[in-house]
Amino acid sequence: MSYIEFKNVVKEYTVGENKIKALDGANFEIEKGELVVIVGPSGAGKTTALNILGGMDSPTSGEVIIDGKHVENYSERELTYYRREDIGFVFQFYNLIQNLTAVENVELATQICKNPLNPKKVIEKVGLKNRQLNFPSQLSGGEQQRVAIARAIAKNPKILLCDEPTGALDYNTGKQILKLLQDTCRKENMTVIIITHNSAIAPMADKVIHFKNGKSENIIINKEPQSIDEIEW
Amino acid sequence: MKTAYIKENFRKINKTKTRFISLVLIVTLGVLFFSGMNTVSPDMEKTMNAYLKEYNVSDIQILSELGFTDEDVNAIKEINEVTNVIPSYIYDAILEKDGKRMPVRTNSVSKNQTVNQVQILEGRYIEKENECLIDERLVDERGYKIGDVITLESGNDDDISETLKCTTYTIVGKIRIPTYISKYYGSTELENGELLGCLYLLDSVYNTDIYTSIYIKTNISDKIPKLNDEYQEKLETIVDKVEKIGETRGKIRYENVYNEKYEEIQNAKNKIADAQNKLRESKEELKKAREKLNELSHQIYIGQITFSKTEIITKTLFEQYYNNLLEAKTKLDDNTGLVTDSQEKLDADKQKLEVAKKEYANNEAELNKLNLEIEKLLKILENLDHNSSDYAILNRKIQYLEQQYQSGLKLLSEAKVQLENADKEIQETQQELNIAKGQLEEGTKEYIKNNNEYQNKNLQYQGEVKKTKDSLEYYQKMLENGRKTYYTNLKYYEEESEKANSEIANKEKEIQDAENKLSKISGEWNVIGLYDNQGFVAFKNDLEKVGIMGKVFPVMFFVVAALVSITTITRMIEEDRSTIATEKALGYSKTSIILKYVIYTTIAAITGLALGTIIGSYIITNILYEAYRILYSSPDLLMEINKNCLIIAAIITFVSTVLCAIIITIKELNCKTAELMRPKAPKEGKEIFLEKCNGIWNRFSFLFKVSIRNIFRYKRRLFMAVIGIAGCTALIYSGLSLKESVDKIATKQYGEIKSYDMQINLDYEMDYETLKESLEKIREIDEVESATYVREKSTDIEKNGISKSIFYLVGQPEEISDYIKLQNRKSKNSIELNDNGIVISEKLANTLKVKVGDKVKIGESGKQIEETITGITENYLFNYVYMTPSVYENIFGEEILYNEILANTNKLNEMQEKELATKIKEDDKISGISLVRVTNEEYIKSLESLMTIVFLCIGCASLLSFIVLFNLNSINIEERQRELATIKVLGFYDNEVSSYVFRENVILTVIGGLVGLILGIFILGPIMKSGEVETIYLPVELNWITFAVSFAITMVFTLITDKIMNKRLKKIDMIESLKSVE
Repeated sequence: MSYIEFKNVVKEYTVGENKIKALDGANFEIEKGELVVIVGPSGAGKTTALNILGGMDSPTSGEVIIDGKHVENYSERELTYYRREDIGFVFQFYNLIQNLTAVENVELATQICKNPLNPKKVIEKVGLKNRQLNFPSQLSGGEQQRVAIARAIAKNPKILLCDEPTGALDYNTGKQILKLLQDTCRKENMTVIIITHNSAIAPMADKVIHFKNGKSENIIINKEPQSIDEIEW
Repeated sequence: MKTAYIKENFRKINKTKTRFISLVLIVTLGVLFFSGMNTVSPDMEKTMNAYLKEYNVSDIQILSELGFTDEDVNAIKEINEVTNVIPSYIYDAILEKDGKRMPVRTNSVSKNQTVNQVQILEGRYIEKENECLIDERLVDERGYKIGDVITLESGNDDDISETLKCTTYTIVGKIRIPTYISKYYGSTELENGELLGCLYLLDSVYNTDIYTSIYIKTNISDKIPKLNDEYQEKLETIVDKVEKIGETRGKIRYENVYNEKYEEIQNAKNKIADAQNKLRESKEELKKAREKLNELSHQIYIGQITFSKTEIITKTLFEQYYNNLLEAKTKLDDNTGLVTDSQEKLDADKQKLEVAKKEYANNEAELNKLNLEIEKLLKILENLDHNSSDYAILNRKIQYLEQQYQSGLKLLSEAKVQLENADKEIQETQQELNIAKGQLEEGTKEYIKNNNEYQNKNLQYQGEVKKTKDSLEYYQKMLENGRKTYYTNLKYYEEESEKANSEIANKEKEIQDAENKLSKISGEWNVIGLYDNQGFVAFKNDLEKVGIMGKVFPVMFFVVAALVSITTITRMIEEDRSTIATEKALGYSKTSIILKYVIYTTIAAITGLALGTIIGSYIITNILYEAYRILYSSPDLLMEINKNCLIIAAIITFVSTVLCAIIITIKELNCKTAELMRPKAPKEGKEIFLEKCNGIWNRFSFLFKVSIRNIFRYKRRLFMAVIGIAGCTALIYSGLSLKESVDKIATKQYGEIKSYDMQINLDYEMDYETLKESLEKIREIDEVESATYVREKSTDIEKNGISKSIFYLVGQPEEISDYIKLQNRKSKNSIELNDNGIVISEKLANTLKVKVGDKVKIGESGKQIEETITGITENYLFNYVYMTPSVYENIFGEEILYNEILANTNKLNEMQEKELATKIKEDDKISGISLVRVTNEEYIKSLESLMTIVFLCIGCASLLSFIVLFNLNSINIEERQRELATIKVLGFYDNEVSSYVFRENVILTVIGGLVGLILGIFILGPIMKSGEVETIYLPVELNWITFAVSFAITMVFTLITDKIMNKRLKKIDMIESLKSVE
């Protein structure tokens, strides 16, 4: 029994008279502590799958089993709880609260979960000890994303989901971020799932899931994942 | 034309219907209030001017205590500027309906009256002398109808027929009178001084030559509105001219009247002197009569004494004589008696003798018998044996018998001697007796003779005594009759003289009063320009007040409305960022992009402006006018759209919509296109100054800190929210305070201040001695706890050129506090009523700008006296002055007469009240009763109209508050969608998301509320004053409860808004909101 199981998940939207299938029977499994990269072209369904995984959306049909629990049937409230306790989300555009300092942004997240990590420590961990009292507008893109990651990690989630975390960052900064994610995965034994356009980083992952036309084709397992330092593109 | 472009424009309006409509709505609301409240005043002014012009209201009215003559009229006509002089009569009488005696004022009109015409609302104008026109107030409030026949009565001692030819009239028309705009017709001497209505009669009905009033129409052009200052200035010059004429004419009239009255008084005095003389004469005569009677009495007395004396002497003599006679008689009688007795005895003795003789004879016979017997026996004996026993026996018997015979013989011979002696004695005695008898007879004869003489003399004497007695009786009777007559006359004299004396005293008092009055009369003319007409002035004042209101309220509304529209439009344009960017990128000129928004906002603005102006000018104005109209007899409002208002409203509207759109669009367009394409950077966060105070800052909870920071982050929102909420709270607070004050008026005025239960009106003004009986009767009734007597009337008071008509009440200082509470409003210390001066009500003190210790002039105009103010008392209705009887006498120069009794009763239900009133009214010195409870209720009703304004304000404040909050929230949520979506993703429950947003709302509301309350304190003053009509006093009192309630209401709106907004929050789709811009 895998930690995360996606079984024939279908997600359908009705827009006007048309039915759009964002996911058309996605199937994959992820083990605990795996670093997974999801790749695919635009509109393939990556974000949709991540959203469903992250409890922000519910599938039209299919099963989503996380740590033995059937998430597909969760009510709104259960989903909220699930997001609260079990999920950490990192967005492409950081989505930090502008009115809070870096450490406060992390505090915002830790205030609501049962078993958080110490915000200050987490900020330190992402290397922003000296910047913790700055507002997002005073931080660079990379720093902001690090705060976002800190926020996500501080919740002590089961799963860390990242939707194109480096999309808005330059090459070097992006690498830093990916390193952070990788380290977190290895050190904290957290399941990390990263969506990206950039297939070049696939080697860093334990598993690579290719999405196309709403289906998860091609699941590749890397027996020897590389450290991001070694990857150039 | 660029069709796609135009299409986009209108589609935009269509798609954002809600926003468009809310924009139109907010503009409408702002304009509505602004134009409504600012147009009412000019409309009222216009209406009044037109009204006065249409009915050709006179410019000047002259009144004089002594009236006017035709010569006066002619003198006035001489003035150049005078075009028309209309002399008229005014007479106050009593109209009775349903047991209520109402003082009404009758005015004269001619058949073809051109000046001071009346507006006929129903019916027709007067044609005959027995017809009358009745003012609308009497119809509406008292229920009179066209066709009713009414009867007028005199309200004072004068006979009504001296003034009016007839007393019954048929009502032919219901009118509205331009000269009496307010419901105040003036003060009268009748009843309690308040006129309750007005009647118009044909001038020929009035019997007198002396006019009561003269109306003057001047040559001031009708084109000059009468409410203008220009009119007042022009009129003042003419008034001066009239006053000058008045000085001379007034003096002439004064002299005429004075002389006439003086003569009358002299005549009256002479009559009194005559009467007194007559009385004196009568008294003299009575005195004489009494003397005569005394004489007679004296003489009778002497006569009686003499008679008595003589009588006594004579009586004594007679008595003696009589006694003597009696003695003689008695003696005679005795003797007679003796003689008779003796004779009787003698006779008896004689008889005895006879009997004795007989007995002797018998005895003799017996003895003889015995002798015979003896002989017999002897014989027998002889025949017997001497030795026989029978012989012994017989012998013994014969011896015995012989013995007996012998003794018998002895006895007989004794008896014989005795008998012979007795015989002799008897004969002697008989002889003596005969002599005595003879003497007796003589004596008797003489006695009889004496007796007769005595009797005769006695009779004679009696006769003379009787004569004397009769004569004395006769004189006595004469005396008694004389006395009776005298006493009757005396009594008659006393009664009549008492009557006469009291009449004389009354007349003397009257004369004195007349003399007093005469010394106080003045021929001074009271020249009243239209600008001084009480009703006119009040209307003008209220007009100003409404004008002020129009400046306070709508400004706030409009400011908030403007802010809301600015925010809405800004938001709209910011949302269109990418569209604008695209259009810019496509090469559309800046102008055409700007034009798009200009068109959008212009349509919204014009629609709002149009709607607002129409509703404001035609509906709101009417609502406000109707509220004031309760207090006036005024025509329907002439409404029109005020150009100035419209221009100002248009400017503000356009600035806050179109101009705003242009500015914001330009701002956006000035950004680089590429930047526009990207979503707007969220507003940066900063430390707020509060954070510097670590001590306080660290105490806050985390989420609270977030909220505070957020509040200061969105400055525009903060600004708008605080202003909007503050404004609304302030208005709600003011409205509630106003309502509370007005509510309090009635309860305080009639519950606390005028604490008496009944006002009992006396039939006429009377002094204490006269009303004493009625007062005692009332006091004796069980249900009455206590009663006192007062005088309540109206007069004028003046200080520093400000003159006011006021009510005054004269009470007994020791008693009055049980009926009227004189106290300082703030400290609640009671104020004593004493002879040192007068106590006035608070509003009056404010109007006259006086304080305790200042002096004011009070009394009838022309003869005012200075009095010191000894106290300023709490009072809410009308203006009152309180004084003691001696102060009254000082001011008015005449002895005080009372016209009311005030009574405190037990707690009674309506039935009991009615019964009590009926009982009291049985006394015909009582003319009517008003129950304070009823007066209270009536007044509350009339104040209710004022509440229209209040509720209007509160309602709109609430509505506005709601709109502001709604709008703010709506925009706020839109702006922060991303942020909110993020925290949702983070796992905030729905209610946590709610709190996150609405915590800020609550804080904003609290800040806004507090600012609003402070603001409220400042605008409360002016608002209260604007609501304060002439008759009521609304002191500005800060009330914590009202604060709390206003605050609470604002909070409630916040909560309601939050509830509605919750749904919006729930709808935030995390995925959509967080979609990255690809």
